[in-house]
Amino acid sequence: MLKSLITYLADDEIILGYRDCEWTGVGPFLEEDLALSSIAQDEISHASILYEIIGEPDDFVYKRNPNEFKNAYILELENYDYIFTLLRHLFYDEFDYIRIKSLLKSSNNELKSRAEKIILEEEYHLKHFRVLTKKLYQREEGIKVLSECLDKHLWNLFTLFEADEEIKSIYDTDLFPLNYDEHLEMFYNVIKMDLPFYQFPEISEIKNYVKNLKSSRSGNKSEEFIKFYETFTEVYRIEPNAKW
Amino acid sequence: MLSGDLKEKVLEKISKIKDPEIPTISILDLGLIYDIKLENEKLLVLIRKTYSGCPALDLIKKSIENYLKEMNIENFEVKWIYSPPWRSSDITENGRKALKEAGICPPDEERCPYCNSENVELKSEFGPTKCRMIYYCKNCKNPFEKIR
Repeated sequence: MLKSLITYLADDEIILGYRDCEWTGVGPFLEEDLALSSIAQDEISHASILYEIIGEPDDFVYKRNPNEFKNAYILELENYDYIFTLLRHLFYDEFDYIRIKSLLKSSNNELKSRAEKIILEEEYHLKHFRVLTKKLYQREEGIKVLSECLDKHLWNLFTLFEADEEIKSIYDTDLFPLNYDEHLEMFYNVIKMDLPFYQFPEISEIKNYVKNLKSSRSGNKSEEFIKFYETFTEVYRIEPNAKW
Repeated sequence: MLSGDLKEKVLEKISKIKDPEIPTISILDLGLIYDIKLENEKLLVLIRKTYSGCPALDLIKKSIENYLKEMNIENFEVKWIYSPPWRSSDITENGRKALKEAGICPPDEERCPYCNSENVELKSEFGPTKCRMIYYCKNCKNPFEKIR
């Protein structure tokens, strides 16, 4: 069960962290370039300190098959444009913050102590993306671009809540004291506050949608993931025994 | 050797290790050393990460290990701990002075390290390293960094 929980948490972090890295040097403005690169460093290191509870982090990243990654579908997609990156991060950080916060009460001390560290860093990620989103929607033009992106990707953003049998079994336990429905409800309330100009579907519709999902968390990887996987494992595959 | 003596000696040695990214401040003054203790005859050095993704961490750990080897201590472990997490308020008074000397504003004030003016503004929460933000002094017109 511990392994299921760790891959559920860390696979999201590592995949998003790698995607964030792709902004280094090409960010929309200098400060945001620095921010995304810095956040990428955090997400990747969070994955690393979580994997190390159950093994060698590199083994989890480089030695698993694509369908063994438990990440959400939305996180493996390309960055497309900055607005998509921003909204995806906002959704993910809100989703993840609730998860990590619940781990502060986990029965596992290794996990609990790391959650104390991780949450401090996730707090300022969240603040960063909330502030930028707010700056954007304070102008008509911002509302327009954010709404267009939400119309296009909204349902994919909810793939964060895809849960196969393995993931369902870790919720509501001493190890991970969070109820799945409450997770979704808390998330729904907070994301509506982050994006007050947008008309979200009813929560019952979202619950119905995520209930039937059999996407990336269930091992069905997209072509984008496969391409991405080949890129981030490329150096490792050339020289598997290299020491860094 | 009494554990108290050993702890003092190790601390004295370790206090010579500087932060690889801010060479005016020691890792001791930065508040990274959480505890040094003997456990079943093994010397345990518990250290904390400023930010989990800081690339200087491995180097810091290796430096401590090298110093312990230099002191002919064979049975030791340098171990990262996550709880309680490091906070910038763990930086000592000496550390705050050292930061200012390096042109970096300590965490608990908003003051230009060059001209002491408080007429400053935050430019970017993310700076050149994980632990630093970028500020601008409207008085002396210099950009400067501040510990997060």
